[in-house]
Amino acid sequence: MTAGKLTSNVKYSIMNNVKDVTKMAKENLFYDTRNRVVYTFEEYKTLTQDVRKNLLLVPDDAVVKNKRYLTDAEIQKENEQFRQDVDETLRIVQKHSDEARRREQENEEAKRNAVKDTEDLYELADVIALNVEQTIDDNYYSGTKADELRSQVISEIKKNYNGIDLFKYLSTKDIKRAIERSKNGEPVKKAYRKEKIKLAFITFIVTVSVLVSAYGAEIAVDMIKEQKKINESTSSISKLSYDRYDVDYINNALNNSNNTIGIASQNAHRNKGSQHFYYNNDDIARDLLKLPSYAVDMGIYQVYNDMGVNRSNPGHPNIDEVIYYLNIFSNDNAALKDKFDNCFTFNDYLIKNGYYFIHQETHEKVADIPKWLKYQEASLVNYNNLLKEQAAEHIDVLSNGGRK
Amino acid sequence: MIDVDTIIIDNIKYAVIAEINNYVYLANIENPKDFMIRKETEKDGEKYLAPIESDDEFKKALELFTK
Repeated sequence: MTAGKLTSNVKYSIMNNVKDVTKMAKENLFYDTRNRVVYTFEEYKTLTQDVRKNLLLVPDDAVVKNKRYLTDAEIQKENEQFRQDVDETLRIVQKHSDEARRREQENEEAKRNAVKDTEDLYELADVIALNVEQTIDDNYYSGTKADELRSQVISEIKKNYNGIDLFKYLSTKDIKRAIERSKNGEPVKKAYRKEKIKLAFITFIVTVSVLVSAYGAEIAVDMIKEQKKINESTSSISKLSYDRYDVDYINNALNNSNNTIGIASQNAHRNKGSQHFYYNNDDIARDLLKLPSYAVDMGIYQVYNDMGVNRSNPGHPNIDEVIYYLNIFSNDNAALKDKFDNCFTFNDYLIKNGYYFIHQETHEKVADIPKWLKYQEASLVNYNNLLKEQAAEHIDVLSNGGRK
Repeated sequence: MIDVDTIIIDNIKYAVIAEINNYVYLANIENPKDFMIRKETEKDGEKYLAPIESDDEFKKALELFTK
């Protein structure tokens, strides 16, 4: 509710009041000249002759209130009082309206903060997940060890959904600082103190992610090899790029960066010879499965972004079909089989991977596309930042004669 | 809220994340970016958390942590 609306309501009410007064004055009324008391014709019939002889007809332009024909002075006084009442009413309305608006603004801010907190949290979760996946890939972890690491981190992120401390992406500088901190300083007596700490576990999770990323970075034989890995990784992602002769390749700003995941491979270019070039959705699915596991969602995000105005837009990939083929082709892919299991449409994929809300009336899971888009957008940004940082690190090393 | 061991180093409170083979893994409660590894040593019957000696030792400790 806003001040403007309330004010209008009050004005409307005032106009109605004026109308009522005028209406009464225009009726066929009588008034006693001695006390200006007003009678209707029905009442007139019940009056005695003594009273009747003092009655006059109320003029059409007279103002009658509370069965009294008002004098000019009374009218003036009434008007003043009325204006005061109006002013007072408007003042009160304004006051309450301002208060309501203030509260609304506060709520809006609280809502915005909550959204921001949530976005930061998702961003954090994505960064940690990327770090973990990167480490798994870098160290060729597989089987139980990789799954344990992955599931522990992800489940604990979910558990610590509320009250999480927010922080930004941890850079290699942070890791180097940690190394320096570990090597320097005086011995401290081992005197622990037990404390209850709300954020301790998330601190643990963060530390784990930092340590594993440090482990991945530090354990790599040297930065040259590290750079080779980055090149291989980038190259594998770059396989999903537009056909350079495709008009979308020219128009799509995303193709300008090697660090960005395109959507169609050289093998999945559109069929030529028709008005539209059609993508082969099964080829797109095959190419998506060639990506590192942590980048598959981002690849799907790119497919989604290119699908046009709807899911069956001619000349664009069909996201439902892509998911359908991902389900089929991922059967032989241990890391991704579960991700697409029983997913036949894009909605299935979203719900299966936790991007849904519960419908208030049907209590069914409903795919939450905006939530998913927000996640993937953040992931893509983080991923690009990660690559940029690694590249910058490599440049530092090269400029230092190959030494870290 | 969970119980954790804490220790003050350089006037900063760190949570003890883990202790493996005399290595102690610490994280600043207020700033998760700030973390370190210390080594438990003993002198005159008292236990101390001392700095580690080298990058290699840091790597070794990380390997232990991630195994």
